[in-house]
Amino acid sequence: MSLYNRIGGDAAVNAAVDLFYRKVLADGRINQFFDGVNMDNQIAKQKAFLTFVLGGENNYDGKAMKDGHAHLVARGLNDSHFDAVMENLGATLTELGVPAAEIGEAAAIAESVREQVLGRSAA
Amino acid sequence: MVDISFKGGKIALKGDETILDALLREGHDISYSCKAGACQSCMMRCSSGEVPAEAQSALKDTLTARGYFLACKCKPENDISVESIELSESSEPAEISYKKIVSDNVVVLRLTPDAKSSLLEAFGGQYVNITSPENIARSYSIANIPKIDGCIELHIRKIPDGEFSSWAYDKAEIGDKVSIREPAGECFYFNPDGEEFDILLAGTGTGLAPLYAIAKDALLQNHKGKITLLHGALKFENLYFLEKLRQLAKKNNNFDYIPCVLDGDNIPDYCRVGSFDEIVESYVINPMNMKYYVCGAPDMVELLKKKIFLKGASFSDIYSDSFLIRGA
Repeated sequence: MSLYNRIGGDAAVNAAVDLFYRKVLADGRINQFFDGVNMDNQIAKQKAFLTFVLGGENNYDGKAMKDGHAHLVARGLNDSHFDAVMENLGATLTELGVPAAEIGEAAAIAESVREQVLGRSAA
Repeated sequence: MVDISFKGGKIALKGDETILDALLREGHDISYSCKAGACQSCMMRCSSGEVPAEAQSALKDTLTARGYFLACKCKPENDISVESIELSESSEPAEISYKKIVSDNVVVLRLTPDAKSSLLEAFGGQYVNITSPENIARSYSIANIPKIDGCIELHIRKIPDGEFSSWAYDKAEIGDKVSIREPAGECFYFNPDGEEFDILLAGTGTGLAPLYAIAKDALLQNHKGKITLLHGALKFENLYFLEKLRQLAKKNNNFDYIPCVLDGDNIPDYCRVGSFDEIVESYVINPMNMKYYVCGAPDMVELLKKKIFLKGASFSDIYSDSFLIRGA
């Protein structure tokens, strides 16, 4: 059974999205990348991302990850920002009471797209 | 083999394809993004046939009831006819039955369709697309409860050189014929179980229109909980419906109306003066037990949503409508 189903599926992800996105927007290290973005679209993307890292759906394709972040890489997106997102992800899951082992699983999935997000891998 | 009927043609579904896959394969220009049922960019409507439950599980009841589904999640088992959402919207005639200029740049129009028209089932706060006798179409929010008034009220702000708004403000006359397309939008009062929560309504300019309708609808349904309406304008002279709203607040204990202006002289005491987003933020006092409606200029709407969200509101409790201005 995937972590996604173990923590409560769609409803749990909705709760996680609010918490996670609020942390990201409040984080001075990375919130400049979210200035002026449409929140509805962004929330939908965050939901797809969290669904993915929790093992719910695997429709994230590398090319889309790379293309979707290319404009941010051009504005200076780098490993330190990716690390900050990872930290917010961990804090969110901790706050929701997800056990450490499962947070590790989610983090490993998120980590697997680092190269594409930062534009260093062909896809 | 399963056939999809779309725009007069038939496409045979191959292997494990979704409707979105098949339409894209045939070169149709269908909007989509996540392909995972999350973003809802690929929403379409089924005009005949059966939609699998999985293609509708993420949608609100109000949408599934009307046959909407997500093409990226749809693998039908039998033949099905589908259409893009724009094409499915039909148009109905209506007549201007009232016109009043309420401020130096806002005109109120009431449009009366046939008494049996389904347009009168629209929720106050949704928007309709209206086509003028000059054949120019724009979308505006519904500012009243059509079912009760037997008409649809719109607040139209005159935009310099705006083709539609100039017609509405300067030329439109009672008796003029217009056509109206099916109401859309999720910005309305919906509380079938009579739950108790506070409501914060915040908008600038004619963003008041949907908020006014939502407030009236909530009061009519005896909403339990406080309703606060914040209307923002640059100057005091730009506010409209001031007396109407003050009277409504006098009559209803659980309804508060707070006009807000950025600055100016001789501003009455009941007005708040200052930056609108900061005033709105100060009214978010119990973020988890409130619902929020935010309407008006897109930049202000985005800013307010962000501030309300950061104060601790759940994003699903924030309803909004941005008024885009099409090139003047």
